[in-house]
Amino acid sequence: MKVKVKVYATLREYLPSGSAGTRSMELGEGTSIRQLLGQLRVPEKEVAFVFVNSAQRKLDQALDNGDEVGVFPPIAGG
Amino acid sequence: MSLTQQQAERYSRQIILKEFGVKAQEKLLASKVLVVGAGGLGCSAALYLAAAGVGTLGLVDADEVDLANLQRQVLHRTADLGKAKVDSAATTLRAINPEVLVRTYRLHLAAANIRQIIRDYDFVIDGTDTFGGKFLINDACFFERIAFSHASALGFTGQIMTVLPGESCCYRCLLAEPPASGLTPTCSQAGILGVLPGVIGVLQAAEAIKFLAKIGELLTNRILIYEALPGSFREVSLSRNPDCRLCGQNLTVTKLRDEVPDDCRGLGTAQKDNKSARSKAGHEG
Repeated sequence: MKVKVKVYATLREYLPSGSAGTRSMELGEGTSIRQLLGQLRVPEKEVAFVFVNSAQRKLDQALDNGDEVGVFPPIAGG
Repeated sequence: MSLTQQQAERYSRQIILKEFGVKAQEKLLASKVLVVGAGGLGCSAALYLAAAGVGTLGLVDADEVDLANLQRQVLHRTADLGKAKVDSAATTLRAINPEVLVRTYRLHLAAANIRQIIRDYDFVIDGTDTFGGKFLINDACFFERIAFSHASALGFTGQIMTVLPGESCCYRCLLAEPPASGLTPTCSQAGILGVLPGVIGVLQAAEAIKFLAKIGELLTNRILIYEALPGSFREVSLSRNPDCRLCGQNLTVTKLRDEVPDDCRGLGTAQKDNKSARSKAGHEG
């Protein structure tokens, strides 16, 4: 199955430069968000929340074909 | 409370909005908002809240104005360098709208003093730039049952959500604990586009006005993400976390505490672009 991933803010460094933080990925059926983070080499402790198709989801949630996944870090500037 | 002729003229452009009207204006004039942090977010939010006629504005900040603040902290002027931020901000706000009562608190908010300060206000704007400050405001507002606007802005990205304590998703529902020290950069380390806290702070002011005037829909149970580079907004729906340590069943936060402060400053301050912080950033690469 195919999913589209977007990482935000400081997490963009985990994707190749020039990718604008987005990437399409081919994943095995039933891949969870946590497994996806592992494939991206994004440490869980650097993630504040993950959303799938604009709704927050837990990391053990299994992904579906066509999902759009957003990964957002904790930020505290002001 | 009825509007004076001058007030009717000053606020006429929002009074003529049928969803707003005289009643909403009267509510704003009778309201008190506390802005914590006179930095990028706080300056922007306070500017519009004063202009809109919020009756009392409280400003909390312990810092002085630094040259590196002026690119985004729009209530302070070059001539204010070295002055207390709350004083320079108050001067600007009073010049914009002398009707507004501006109260200043030149101090660091901490577990020991925050509840006494916020309980006198109807709404709180979180304009801090530390996780410690954000968790402190979230928890104190929960215990005092005061609605507040959470926001953060870093680099080119900002986030904002409104919390009705005990009713909607809180900051701890989203993020249980502050991240480990040094894991996430501050503005002085990562940089921040000057307009970014301006955009987010104005959105915070809009949330405060809607809450006080009882109009529209608040940004509750959803978080709005703004990315300046692509010029895009994204809304993410959130749910209260049943295991939240503050407002859920997994109650472990039962009283206020000072979270381990972030690397470069104490709580309740905003945007101290000091040389030591920059030098630290340099060392950390």
